[in-house]
Amino acid sequence: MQIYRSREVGQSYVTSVWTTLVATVHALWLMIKIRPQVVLCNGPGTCFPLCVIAFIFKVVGIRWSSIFYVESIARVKKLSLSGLLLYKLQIADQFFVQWPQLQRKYPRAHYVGCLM
Amino acid sequence: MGDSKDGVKGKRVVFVTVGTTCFDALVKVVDSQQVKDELLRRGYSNLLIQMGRGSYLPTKSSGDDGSLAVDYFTFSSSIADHLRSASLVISHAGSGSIFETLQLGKPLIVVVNEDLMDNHQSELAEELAERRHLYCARPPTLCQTIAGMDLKSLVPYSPGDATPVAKLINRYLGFPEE
Repeated sequence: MQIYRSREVGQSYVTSVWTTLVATVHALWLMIKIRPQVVLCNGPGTCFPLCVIAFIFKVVGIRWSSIFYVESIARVKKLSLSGLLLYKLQIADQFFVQWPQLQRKYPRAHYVGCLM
Repeated sequence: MGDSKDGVKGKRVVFVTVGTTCFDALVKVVDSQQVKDELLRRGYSNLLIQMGRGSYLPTKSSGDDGSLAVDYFTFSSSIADHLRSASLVISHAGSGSIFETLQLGKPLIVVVNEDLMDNHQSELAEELAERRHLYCARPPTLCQTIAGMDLKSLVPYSPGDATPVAKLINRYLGFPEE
């Protein structure tokens, strides 16, 4: 099953606005069709519209999905953009990081060690 | 040293990989006389370069004259076999290449691409180097890294475990603990 990316690596932020909108509409359609109980993702940007839709559903009272985000093992000292957004906006129900430095910087994250 | 025709006996291969990226700076420096001489000096007989999307073509050599045998290719569907038969791996800083190599227990030098704009991957290489699982270098420092490396001092990497994540998720969702 394919889902649309909000933004390709290196894509200009201006055109990203449109592709993000397309990805969001697609995510909305997927969420309604599948109604997942769990959304488990690791970034990158592909997961962001899905998480936002799931979160908006929760906010309006449609409690279909719990959202779990695992930050990439390549992120040791700084979060990825998706990770940062999901963490700061408190969209994920549980936020996992693989390095202790990130857990110290982002205390609401759970440190789970390296998964690879 | 014996016949190096098939190179089966005593063949020590250095495998260089840039993954799916273009990393001409690494391929160029590995193909330099300085680095090739240093690899020979450290006891390696063969150099195999996976050059990915790069445009710089290394110089092939049979190594019959006692020099380092050099070969290259662009991509293969799986580099696992090449990693397995290597005595030393020199890789770009992609997390896939790094962990695939570490899990096979192969000595690894990670070379960070200084031309990349957002170089978050260097964080991973530097952290693992600090924990002594691999050596970390940049194209200009690769030769001295090879000259000074002590592979016996590298700490073996223990594969990770996803069970803690599964446990936390199960607990959150209310599943009974096993």
